[in-house]
Amino acid sequence: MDRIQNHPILGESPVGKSVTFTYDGRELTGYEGEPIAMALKVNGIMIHRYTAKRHEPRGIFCDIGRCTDCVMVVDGQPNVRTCITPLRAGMKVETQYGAGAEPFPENAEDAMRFAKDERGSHPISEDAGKDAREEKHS
Amino acid sequence: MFDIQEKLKEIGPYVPESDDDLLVCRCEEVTKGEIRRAVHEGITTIEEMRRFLRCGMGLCQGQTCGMLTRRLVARELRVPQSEMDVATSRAPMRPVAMETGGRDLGVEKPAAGGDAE
Repeated sequence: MDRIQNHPILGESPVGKSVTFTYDGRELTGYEGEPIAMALKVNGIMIHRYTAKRHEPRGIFCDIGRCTDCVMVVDGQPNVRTCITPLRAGMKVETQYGAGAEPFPENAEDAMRFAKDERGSHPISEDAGKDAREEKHS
Repeated sequence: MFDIQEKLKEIGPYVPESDDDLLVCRCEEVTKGEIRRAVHEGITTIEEMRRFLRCGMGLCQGQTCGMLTRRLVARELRVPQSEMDVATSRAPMRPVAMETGGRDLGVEKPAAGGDAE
């Protein structure tokens, strides 16, 4: 997924310093100072957390820091709203399961495969990103 | 305030709707059907609803679902929305790290990851 380079109202997007951070153990790059959620979306990651009761996947909803649907475990601290928290070099970003970073039993296998296999990818998040890309091209 | 028993007789039994599994409160995962059913069990104010189903009690404190819940309850009770009291707002309105409160007492410690509002 690409960033918006030229917004009709906001104008040209500032390009920050490229920094690396980790997402569920994998190294990714993003711009310093941009919201963590943006850096994840550019990398095709749409799922930020799984809910406590139904274990449903959640991602960006309001994107302005109100709905708390995009919260993740950042540097060990849970419930960090990634849509308004600036990205910094070396940040440790983890998917939040309920209120912590420990995967639910049904997600554990996927999470482990994702962390171990360098070429593999998070199955659901990769699919979600692919759909959006295909829509753009068609 | 109205007589709850009279009101329950007036609105009749709970009638399922096709979109009752629609999620209203995203934080506490409460559906439209659960809220509607609760009204027929005698929950007639938003404050009671928050304690009964926990809708609007999650991380966002009802900022996303507050108005939706109010509208659903008002419709189910057959009263205008303006007659429904809104839920009490309490600070903090955003998730705040515990140490942010601690700083008020003069304790300084750099925040990790989170932001203070």
